[in-house]
Amino acid sequence: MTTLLKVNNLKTHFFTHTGVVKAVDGVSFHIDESEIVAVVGESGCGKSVSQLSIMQLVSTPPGKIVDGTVEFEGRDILRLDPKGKEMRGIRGGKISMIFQEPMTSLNPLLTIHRQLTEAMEVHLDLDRSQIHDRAIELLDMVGISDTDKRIHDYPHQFSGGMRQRIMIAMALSCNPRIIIADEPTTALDVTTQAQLLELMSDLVSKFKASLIIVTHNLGIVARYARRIYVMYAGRVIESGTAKEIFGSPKHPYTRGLLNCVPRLDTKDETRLVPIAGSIPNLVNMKPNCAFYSRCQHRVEECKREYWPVLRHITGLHHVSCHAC
Amino acid sequence: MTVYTLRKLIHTGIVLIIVSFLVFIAVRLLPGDPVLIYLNETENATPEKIAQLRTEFGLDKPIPIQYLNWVINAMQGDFGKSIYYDISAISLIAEALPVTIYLCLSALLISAVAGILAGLICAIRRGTYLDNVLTVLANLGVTIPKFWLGFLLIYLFGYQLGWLPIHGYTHPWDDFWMSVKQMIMPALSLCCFAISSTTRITRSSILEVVQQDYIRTAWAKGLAERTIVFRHVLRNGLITIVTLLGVNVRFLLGQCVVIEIVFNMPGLGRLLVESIFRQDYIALQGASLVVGLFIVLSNFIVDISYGWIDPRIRQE
Repeated sequence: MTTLLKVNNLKTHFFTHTGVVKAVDGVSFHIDESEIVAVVGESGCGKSVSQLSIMQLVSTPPGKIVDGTVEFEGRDILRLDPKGKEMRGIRGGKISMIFQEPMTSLNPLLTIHRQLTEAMEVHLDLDRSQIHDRAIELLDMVGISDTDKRIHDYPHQFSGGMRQRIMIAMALSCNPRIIIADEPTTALDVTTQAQLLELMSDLVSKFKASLIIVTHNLGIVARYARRIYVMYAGRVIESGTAKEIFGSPKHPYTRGLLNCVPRLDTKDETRLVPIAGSIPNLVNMKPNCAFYSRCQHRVEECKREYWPVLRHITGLHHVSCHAC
Repeated sequence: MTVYTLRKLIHTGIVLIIVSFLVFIAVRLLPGDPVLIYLNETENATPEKIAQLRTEFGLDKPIPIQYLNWVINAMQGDFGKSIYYDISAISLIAEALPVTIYLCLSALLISAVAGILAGLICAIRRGTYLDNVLTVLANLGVTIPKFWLGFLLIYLFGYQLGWLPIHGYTHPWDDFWMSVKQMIMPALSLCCFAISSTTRITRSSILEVVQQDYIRTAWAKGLAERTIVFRHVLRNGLITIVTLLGVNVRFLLGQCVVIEIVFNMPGLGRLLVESIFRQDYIALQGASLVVGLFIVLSNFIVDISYGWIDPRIRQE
């Protein structure tokens, strides 16, 4: 499998009144063709910002991509002008995004037709009626009924789940190579979540696209992702295949995360163990391991030394830890 | 939309009735007796004459009857006969109205175009030199008194430089260039506040819209900045802007009283003030009603615009 997108040492910092927030601090990952990859972590660990950085959609100021490269189709797309034609061609055309909040991610004043067709008008070489037909077809595909009529409705006439289906249709509309789904089901109820994830994974394989799912829900990850990146405080602290991570988690944080998830395959009435403490304040952080204060396996090295780089273990499994 | 429009139309009608009632009451509450003033001018105030005039003006009837008579006649376009001029009030108003409409419309147009544009530029180029300069100017514009600005302009452009006529009014259909030249200073001093407030409100409303999730979605689609600004951002900011334009209409109609006097223009505002001084209650209540009518009309247009802009309001 060839690598489609490669992120190297990405650093996105926010320059606030209280100090520098290193939301993404040296993150590297990649995605292959037709692959589903998950980026996992708690709220505020920089997983969303790292994805927005790829698209150059971080609001500047206060945010700024201070270092790193994003290789896509043989070039570093972070070097492109954020508002320029080339970057616009990638956004929505080659890489598209689905956002967390279906209720607010659609423009309330424009019809679904308008919002679904505008990306196609920019990226596809089709005429008006072809675009219209494709829009209808896409809505059928994501499971919206009575599409001929409903395409002229406004967002407020749809439920949250329906709106997220429309977002999926929009993301797929220009045959992108990669779809980045930023917590696509977090705002929805559980049954809707399952339907939508099933739909997404089906359509992604049908369109031969790759999918990056950003989530804090490990259940989603276990079911759909081939590879996983676990993030903590702006860095990737462990990565590997789903089997490696779930089978033999190495980093104390990853193990802590898995201990918080209820499992059906354990017999005893084992109690769920929450991770002690809370995520650190990202303003003006110290350069050592950010998990140090919460870690049960910490050693003297962890306090003294810089945050360790990802170390190879077996297969695709990497971990960033002094103690393991 | 039809249901929405109809409902707003009924609201407008009710408001109009209340307005007419308030106008009538307010005018009647003014001190002084118009009949005495009228007779003073003609200098033969015998008790018989007073009683005769009272009957003639219908002032001997109870207030509710007077009100009804007035409203019924007004609906037929008869506002009564001006006490001072001895001609029908409607013809006085008809003469003054074009002046005020011309003045207020120019000021509204200038403030809307310049204010929205400046606010948009400030919001999109937020934090730049241009934004700072325009914001400071807008703050200044809000605080400058209108009549003072009027005098300043007259002194500078009329008296010192001699570029523009210092007062007066000409109908555009009589002498177009003269009318434009005479309109520049009054319109500018009148719309100074409106430009500034429109700039400030547009800026803050656009800045709020820009942060919305759906704008990020629009960027993520790869649309050009121009498309995003005009299709997504401006449209969503329009609700606030349209509300402000409605407020501006009220404000301009109120302020044009001062401006018309400073620049000696024979408009509705001047007619109002002069009618008060002359105790010409017929002309006063007629002119007040017309001003009220325009304000109610502008509110109606604003309401209809809401429906046109926002489908959620339309389908309520």
